[in-house]
Amino acid sequence: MSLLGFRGGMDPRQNGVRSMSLPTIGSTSMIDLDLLVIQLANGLVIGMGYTLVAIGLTMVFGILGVLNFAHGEFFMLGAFVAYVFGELMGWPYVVSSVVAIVLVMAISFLFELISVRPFMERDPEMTLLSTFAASLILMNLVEVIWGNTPLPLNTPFSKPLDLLFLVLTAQRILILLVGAVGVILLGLFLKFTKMGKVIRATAQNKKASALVGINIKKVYRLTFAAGTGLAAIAGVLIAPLSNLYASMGQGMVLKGFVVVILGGLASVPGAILGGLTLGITEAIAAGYVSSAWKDVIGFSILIIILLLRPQGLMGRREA
Amino acid sequence: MNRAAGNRRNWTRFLGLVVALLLPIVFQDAYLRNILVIFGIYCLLALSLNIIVGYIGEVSLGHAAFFGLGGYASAILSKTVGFPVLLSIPSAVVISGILGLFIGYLALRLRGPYFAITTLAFAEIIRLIVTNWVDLTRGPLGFTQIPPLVLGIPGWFEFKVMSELRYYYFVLVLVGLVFLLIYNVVHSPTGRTFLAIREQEPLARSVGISPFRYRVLAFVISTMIAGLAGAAYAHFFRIISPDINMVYYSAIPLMMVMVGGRGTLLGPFLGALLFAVLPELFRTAGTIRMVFFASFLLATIVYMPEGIAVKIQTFIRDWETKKSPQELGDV
Repeated sequence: MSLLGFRGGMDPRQNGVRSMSLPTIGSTSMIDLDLLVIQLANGLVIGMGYTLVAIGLTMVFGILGVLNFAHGEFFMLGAFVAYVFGELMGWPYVVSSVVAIVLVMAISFLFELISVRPFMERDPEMTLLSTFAASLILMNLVEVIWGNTPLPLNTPFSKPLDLLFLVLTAQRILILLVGAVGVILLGLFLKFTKMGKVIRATAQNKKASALVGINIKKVYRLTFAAGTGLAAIAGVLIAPLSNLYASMGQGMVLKGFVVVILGGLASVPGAILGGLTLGITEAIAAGYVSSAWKDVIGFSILIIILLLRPQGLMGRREA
Repeated sequence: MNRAAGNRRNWTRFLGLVVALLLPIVFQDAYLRNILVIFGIYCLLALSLNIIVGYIGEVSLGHAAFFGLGGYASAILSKTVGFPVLLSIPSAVVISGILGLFIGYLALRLRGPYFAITTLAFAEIIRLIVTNWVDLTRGPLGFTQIPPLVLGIPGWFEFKVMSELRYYYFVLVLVGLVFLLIYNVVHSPTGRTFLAIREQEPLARSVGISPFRYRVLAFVISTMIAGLAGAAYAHFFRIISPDINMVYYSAIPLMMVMVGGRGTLLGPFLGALLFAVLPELFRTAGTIRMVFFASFLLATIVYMPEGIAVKIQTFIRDWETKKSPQELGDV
């Protein structure tokens, strides 16, 4: 069928035809529209997860100039801590999730202290390697403790809800709601609170901020806490949709990079737009091409954007 | 520097070679010889990545792509297509180099973290292709019973390089050739150009050097060596699966180079020795050994950013340039 023998060909039209011929009820155009709506909704849900992860990445880059290769591990840790409290100790999902988010933020203090701070003054380029090492430590530590069999995380919000056009589980709607609320709260925090202003000032000019008496180290800690907290929120929300496994953070941080590059580094609105775009693109690709190849599309986008527009789709070229 | 120092340096090198030749005779055990072969393959891998990290000065997080590609290319060519292994290994090297040219040409336009992310993304794409292109790579199953290396002319004189002992000497020859290649490049005008670009790019540019071209050249050489390491791996273990493309094989050479000492000739060997022996010591520990390694890497970049080799090299240099008692008497 296909020249190179790819499984699940690369031509979307071919697969479209195939998937249309499977269900026999209704007209083909109706089914196609249903698939599109479902994939759009799924893409939006996953994209919200990407957004939450990417905002942390982009904030840390904007304020510290550090690309945190360990950021995905906080997504993973959020899910695993929630698993410990929720599944092993039997706490309610919401309670264990909140505990997980707080604990992950606490772990991020330790992470910042060990693998970021020693390099900030001496050799910031080294954080590339130090955060990569920290990522390997965290991921393998979790695998040592919980093994490599995928674990479940149950949620009380598993009931399917019948919306006007489609049926979605409550968990998916929760992701959209919590994600939107989280993003809006972060925006308000950065815009109107004193601490938010301090963070924005530091992002603009580190030296000048230090000169007017801002405690830069405190800003760093706070940035990590906020960023990893959002990643942990994504972790506890997304994990019930599939399973938990130790390497889930590695895949996520790569997606986070795609989003951050897509939206322009150090841009929070860019991360939101990039996250949703990537989620929807992947879902459409999974629906019409093949789910095995959807990740290839994301990484190809990353490489193409880096080469053509290193400042991202939303970012401005630096002077 | 005087003649005595030169003699001593030659002695250190000669001693190194003798030790390398005698190692498998000292270690008769098949298991220990197995580790020696792994050590040799790791040497190739570390020497290869050291070109990117040490001489181009960029961190590649996707070296597993070329290691895996070399292994798969040689396995497919020898098993599916039916090439003799003596031909499939060089073909794999060339294929790795072509991919290296493509990726390097694109990625080397970027610097620092952007370069690292791009290499990581390329490696992921290659891993996904290897896992999903089932018709060619047999997907997650991988290949078993990959043909062994046979030297000589088919049907007339054949010499199977299958035992650990023979394979060790084969890998040793490869390591020797690669080392000579890198040594000569580093000590040639090209090598000095690499260093000039790494240390002072604007200045290098101002005297008419095109940094990009040299960086791509170095990248291609590096990826060819990584492909060679992968092919050597495939025909030794004679099994290959998409695992060879995982982050582990990008992380391990990076650790070898950083801990051993980037940008040095000795560093990759030390790093390879460390990471060939340590996993065996921690064999029963399973996954936790990766936790140790990564902590080790973190500690190295905090406390000894130049790596072990620089420490040892200063020690050896002191010994090499130390004046002999007679010379001291003359003064």
